[in-house]
Order: sequence, then structure tokens, then C-alpha cells
Amino acid sequence: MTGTALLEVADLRVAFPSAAGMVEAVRGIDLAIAPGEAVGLLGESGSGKSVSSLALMRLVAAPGRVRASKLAFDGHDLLTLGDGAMQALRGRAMAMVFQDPQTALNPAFRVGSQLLHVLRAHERLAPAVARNRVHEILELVGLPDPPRVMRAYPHELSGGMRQRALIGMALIARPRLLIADEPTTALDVTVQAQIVDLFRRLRRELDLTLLFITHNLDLMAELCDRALVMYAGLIVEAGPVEALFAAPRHPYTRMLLECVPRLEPERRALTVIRGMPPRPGAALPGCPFAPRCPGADDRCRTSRPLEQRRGEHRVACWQAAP
Amino acid sequence: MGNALRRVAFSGFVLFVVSLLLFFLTRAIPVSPARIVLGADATEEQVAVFDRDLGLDRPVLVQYAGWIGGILRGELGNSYITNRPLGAQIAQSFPITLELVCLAFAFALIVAIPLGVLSALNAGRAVDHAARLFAVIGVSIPGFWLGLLLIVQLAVPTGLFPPGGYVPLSRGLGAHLNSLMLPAFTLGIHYVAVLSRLTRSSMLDALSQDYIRTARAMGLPAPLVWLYAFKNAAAPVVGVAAMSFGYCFGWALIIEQVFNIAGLSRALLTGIRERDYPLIQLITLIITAIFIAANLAADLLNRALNPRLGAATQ
Amino acid sequence: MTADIDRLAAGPSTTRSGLRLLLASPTSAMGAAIVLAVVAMAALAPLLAPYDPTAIDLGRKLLAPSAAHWMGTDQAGRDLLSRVIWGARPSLTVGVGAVLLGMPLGVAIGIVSGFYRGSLLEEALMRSIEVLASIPLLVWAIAIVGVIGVGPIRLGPLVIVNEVKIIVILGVLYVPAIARVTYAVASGEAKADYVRARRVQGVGDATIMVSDILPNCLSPVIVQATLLIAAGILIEASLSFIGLGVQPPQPSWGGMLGESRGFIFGGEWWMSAFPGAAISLAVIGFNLFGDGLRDSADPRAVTRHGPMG
Repeated sequence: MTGTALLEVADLRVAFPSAAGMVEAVRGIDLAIAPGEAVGLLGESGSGKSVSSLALMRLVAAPGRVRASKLAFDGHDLLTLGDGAMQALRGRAMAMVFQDPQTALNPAFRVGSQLLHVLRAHERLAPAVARNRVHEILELVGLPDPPRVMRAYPHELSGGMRQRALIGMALIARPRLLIADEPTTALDVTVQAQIVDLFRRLRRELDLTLLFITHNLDLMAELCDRALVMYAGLIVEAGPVEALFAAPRHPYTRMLLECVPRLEPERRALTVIRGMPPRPGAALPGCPFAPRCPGADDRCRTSRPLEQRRGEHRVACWQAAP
Repeated sequence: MGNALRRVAFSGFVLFVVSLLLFFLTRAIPVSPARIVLGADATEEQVAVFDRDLGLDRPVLVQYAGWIGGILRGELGNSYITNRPLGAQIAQSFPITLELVCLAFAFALIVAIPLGVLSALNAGRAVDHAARLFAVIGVSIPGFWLGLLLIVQLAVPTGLFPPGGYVPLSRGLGAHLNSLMLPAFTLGIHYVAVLSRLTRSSMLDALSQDYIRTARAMGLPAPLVWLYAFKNAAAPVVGVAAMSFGYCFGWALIIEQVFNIAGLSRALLTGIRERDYPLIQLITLIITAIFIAANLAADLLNRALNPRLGAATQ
Repeated sequence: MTADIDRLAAGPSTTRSGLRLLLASPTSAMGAAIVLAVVAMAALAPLLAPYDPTAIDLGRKLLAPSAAHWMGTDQAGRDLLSRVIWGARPSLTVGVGAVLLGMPLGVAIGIVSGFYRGSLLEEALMRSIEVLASIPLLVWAIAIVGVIGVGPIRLGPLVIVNEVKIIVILGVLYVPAIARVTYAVASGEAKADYVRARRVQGVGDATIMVSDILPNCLSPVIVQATLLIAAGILIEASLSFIGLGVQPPQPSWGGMLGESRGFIFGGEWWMSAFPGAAISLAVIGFNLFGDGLRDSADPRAVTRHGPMG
């Protein structure tokens, strides 16, 4: 990755209290996003990808604990920023779209009011100007008849429309970075495709930097330039999307790709990865994937793999060819 | 809108059914009205004449129709036991009870909602624990004991409040309100406890919702985030508060007795003592009507505050 | 499907672990202790009370608490401690009796309505419940007792004392609260897969309702019942306070408080303090116990405080 990064994260750890003491859901990940890039964060449920994104926005509430050796956005050190300054950044500099549009919008306020609130929290505008901006953004996200949408309550809109409205809300204050946490998971497949198209268009038209979190390989491939694969709170592989798909270096990535059902002339049984991801808090002396990895040896089980780089493509695996 | 009207109509129907039940129950008296008025040794003939004159020999349903018709026309007539005008008795005592309940209710809302919100925003800290302790006590201590305690420990030693009795408005606003201060406090304390706990749990529930996370993620300032939560939290609180207004009337009767206030309770207990069934009937009907109206208000407010409930077809 | 079957096999939700949870919290343990104490007082009154609660001794009237009379004596020379102990009986009788009376009908209506949700039967039942719930309990209790009279009624061989009248009134008016709690559970359960499975197996509706749905309703109903007992104690005390409850010379906490009204200015604080404290403790105890039961069964459940409002 060249040039100054918009977002730089080093050794991010997020821990939560449990009956057995503080348990790390994110065990030390590094991440950097350049302006204009679309980066995908891939992983299954429980891998820590959503928690990581919340940590980036400093939305992890106490008693959860966020630590990092570096967490910087556009030069601002997010670790030392006060609450007021952080609140000003959210929505204006970096914004987030969540998974479930049904619950993410406030049922007691009209959609237009919620959008106006966000806009006014960041910019001083005359009421008429503000309304125009809301109309613009609603059109931008592909919602027909903005006045009707503005007047509507969330429950009066369909799932796809709600998600578009949410995306609009995230973008209305013109942030530079948009984090989308599984924005299509709660939607029908046809609607999913539309939302992905929307993201593509928004990237082009607004020159938006995107962090796209998902467990769906295909969506990620359509939208992202680079991807990071997360497992059990760690990044196991990262690199350009083409390289990842063409030549995956980590066993987990390889098996993920094999799991995707494909239309082929010969019938084949669906591949599954045996076993379950480790529970948060489980002791992991070595590589977290070792219990499920067919090629694991003693070194894999006892010591955490060091990262190996081949240009832009990095992987954390003892078995990976250098 | 159609839903709301239907709800109102149903409440009217309920009131009708309940009033019918009330009428029948007050007919379940051991001694006939004739014998109460004329004496236990009245002759059969005298009883028959009495009953016929007052229409007490007609079928019960006909009597009921007459009763309800009179009430709806505003002609309350005289009690057939005491021959005193019912309307005047009610008009004298009802406003006092109403004022007491309104004062208690206003006090409850003004204290409970901020207290509840404060507890929710400071959940787990000292403020919250103190509020919870106060709430448990407030909900469990019987109002009539609290009233007695206040009279003996506060009113009498300090002389700040009268030890009982109602001072009418004509004798000065200050003295009037002062005489209602302790009773309103005693009556309201229970609802401060109930409503503040409800506000707290409702707020906490709202604050844990996804839309609050969204609001914070969009950079909304803290007070606006609290408003986002509160608007959702308000619905159940308002509903319970409206219902509480109805319950309040029942407890007001007891508190009035503690503080010797000449409101509906005195009229009702006098009526019981004198076996004035028409009066008992009427007072019970009035309080029941208020109770039903309060429940209706609670329901309508819930629908208004929660757009999802209002649009049942969506 | 498997989960439903497991749940079915597990039975009512108050398991042993629930009981442990109940006693783990200090407040609910305290509640349980108080409830136990009240029940003990009521059950063992003849053994616990040092004196006859109705024995008049005008030579020893209005004595302050002392070694001989731990709670002092009242205006007729009766030992207050004995009266407070015996006073637990009417409170508990009315509180528990009313709930026991209302439970069968309330639970039955709730389950049937929930099971046949959407049908005309459910509408009719729930509307009737609404009508019943529209009756302000305290006022009607006062009015009905006032109209019928406080004296005992003779129905053939039966003598119905005032407490029984109150139990009947409360029991009937408790039905809506119990029915609604039961309905909430039953209507959810009725849609569950395991019910459908049982129907397919040819099991009759009544059997399903009793053996499958009823056990799941027990836990919230018991919580609601406990809270209603607390409400009942308070209502009985209020009625006795204004003279429409337990009739003198029978001791009752509310009645004792009512009688103390004439003596509070004279400095005889013990006459109101002890019965008042007794009522408060009993109500707090049952409320805490009920809250504790609810938290151990399902911390997120919402129950109503019923007619106490």
C-alpha cells in the first residue's frame, strides 16, 4: 500500500469482561486503508470483525476495553481524542452502516428528522438548505420520492429502502471513510445485489473510501480492491483480492474458497471445514486455526505464526510458502 | 383513526356493562329500602306503597334504564333513603377528591420521570441504588401508615402543616394548598416509586437498542441521543401513568380518611353508614367511569406515541 | 425441533438452579425470609403469642413497650405483640385466599384464549377479561362490603364472615391479571412447533393445553400470584383501617392502625408503629420475593403489579 493512509491501525486488541476475567475478542490486528480504496474484512461470525469496526469508531462501551499501539485517522490520533472531538469525527469524517436496517433506525422519529439531526449535528445550515441536502442524499442512494421518504416512519419503508436511508444517513455529512458492517446480510438476495451496486456507484461518485465487512466472499470480490481475512480475532491473510482468490496462501482462506458452492459439470459433495472456531477466551498458544487445519504440525500448535510478506500479500502461517 | 374510535366505543360499552353490574350488585342488599326508611316494623302495605312510589317494584332492568337515563340527562334526583339531593352531595365532595388526586399525580410525574431518567443514565452508581431503595420503600409502605407518621412526626411538632382537615379555597390559596400538601405527598409517593422504576427500566431498554448505537455512530450529541431513547421509553411510562391516575382515586379515599378530608370518601362512608344505596351507587359509578376513562387514555396515548401501534394495517 | 422437545421434557422453568439464584440475591433472600416469618406467625399464632389477643384488661391499658409487653398494650389493655402475631392471619388468609380463588379461572381463561388465538372464543374471553379489568378494585370492595354489610351472613349451615366476602371480591377481580399473564405465555407456546407436532400425532387439544402449555405458564403465574398476595395484604389492611374489613375484636393490622388514630396525638406511638411496620414488612417481603422469583425464572419478564396500581 502506497501513499499516506487514511486509516492506520496497529495491534488493535478489544477485550470484554466475562466470568473468567477479561477475554479478547480481537487479539492484535494491523490494518491500513488508503484514500479511495475499498477494503474488505472477511470472516465468519465470532471472528471479531464487527467488534474491530466498532473499536475503530471508538464505539466499544465500557466495560469493554480497546487497546492499540496505533489508531489514527487522517493524521488524528484516535486513542487520545476526547469524547467531544470523537463525536464530531463520527459521521463527519468516518461513518458506519450497520447490519440490520430494521433496528438501526429509531422507530419513534420520521426518517427525514433523523437525517436532519445527523446533518445538523455536524453543519450549521439554514433549514431550507438542510432539507435540500437531505433530498439530494436520498436521491443519491436511489430512493424515489424523497419527500415521501422523509415524512415516513421507518416501519413504513421496505427493508431495502431502510438500508438505503441508513446509507444516506451515514453519508449526509460527507465522511471520507465509510465502514459497512454486513450491510446486506439482513436483506433479500435481490436487494443485496442492488445495495452492492449502490456502493459501487457511491465509491465512484463520491470518491468514498470503504471498509466492507462481510462473511460473503462473492460480495467482497465484487466490491473490494483488497481484503483481510480474519479468524478468531486475528488477521490470517491479507492482500489484493485477485491474489487472494487466485492463490490463497492460508489454509483457512483456501478452505473458505472451496466451501463456496459452484456450478460445475461434475457433482461434488459440499466441502465443509470440520470443527468450530475457538470460543473467545480459549487459550490459543499457537495458530488459532491449528485444531481445524489438515496440515498443522507441532510448531503450528505451539507458537503463533509470524507474518510473511510477498509484496502486498501477507499471510500468518508456518506452512505457507515464502 | 378508525382504530382509536373503535377503542373509545368499546370503553363506552364496558362502562355500560360495568354500570349494569354495579346496579345489580347494589340490589343485593339484605334489607329492603322500604324497611330502612319506614322502619323494621312497617306493614306489608306500607312497603308496597313505598316501593310503587319510588318505582322499586318495577323489573330491575327497567329501573336500571331509569337510573342511567337520569344520569345522562343530568337529573340525579334525591336519594330514596335519605331524601337528600344526590347531585349536591357529589358536587360538594367530588372536586376536593379530584384536586387531591391531581396534585398527587402532578407531584408523582414531576419527580418520577427525571428521577427515572437520572437512574437510567447513572445505572449501577450511587444515585441509582439510592433511587431503587427509595422506590422499594415507596411501593411497599402503606399510604395510610405513612400519612399517620407524617401527621405525628411532621405536622404536629413543626406546625408547618395542619394535622388534618381540608381548608377550602375561599380561606386563601396558601392555606388551601397547605392543607393538601401532606395528603398529596402521601398519595403520590407510591406512584413516584412505581413510575420512576418504570422510567428507568424503559430508558435502559431503549438505550440498549440498535438505533442508539446508530445515533452515536452518526455523531449525534449526547442530549439528542438521550432524547432518541426517551421518546421510545416514554410510551410505556405514559400508559402506566394514565392507568395510575385511575387507581389513584381508590387510594385517595383511604388517604382522605387519614387526613380527615371531606371529599368523596366521607360521602361514601356516610352513605354506607346510613345505608344510602343510591349515593353509594352513584359515587362508585363516578369513580369507575374515571377509572375506565384513565385506561382508555392510557391506551390511546400508547398508540399515539408508538407509531407502529397506531398503523395496525402496516 | 430438538430444542423444542428438550424444552418440553424439561417441564416448568423453575428448576433447582432457579432456586439457587433466588436465594443468591440478598434482596430476594430477605423477601423469602420475611414471607416465611409471616407465614410462621399466621400458622403458629396460638403457640407464639404470649397473651390472648382479645383479652381485655383495662387496668393495664395504654402501657408503653416493656419487658412484660414487648409492644405495649392498646386502649383495652390487650397485648399488642399478641395482636400483631394474630393479625398475620387475616392478612395472609385474604391475600392467599383471593389468589387461590382467582388462579384456577384466570389460568384456564388465559390458556384457552392463548391456545385458540384469533378465534371468536378468544375474542369473547379476552373482552370479558377487559370488562372485569375495568373495575377499580378498592372502590368496589368498599362499596360491595358497604352495601352487603360487615356482619356475617348466614347461608344455611354456612356462616360467611367479612374476610370471606373480601376474598371473593378480590379473587374475582384478580382473574384479569392472572389471565393476561397466562395468555401472554400460552399464545406464544401455542404457535410452537412442538404443539403442532402433538396435534399431528392426534393428541386432543385439552390434553395439549394441560400437559404441554400449562407447565410453561406456571412460573410467570406464580410470580404474578406472589405480587397479588402483596397487593391483597395491602387492600385488606386498607379495608380494615376504615372499618370495612376484619371486624373488632378480631386483631388485624389495618384495624389496629385504624384504632390507633385516636391515640397518636397522645404519644402512644406503639399503637400505630408496630401494626404499620408489620404491614409494610409483609408487603415488602412478598414484593421482594416475587421480584426474586421473576429474576430467577426469567430476568426479562414483565409482570404487572395488578390492582395495587
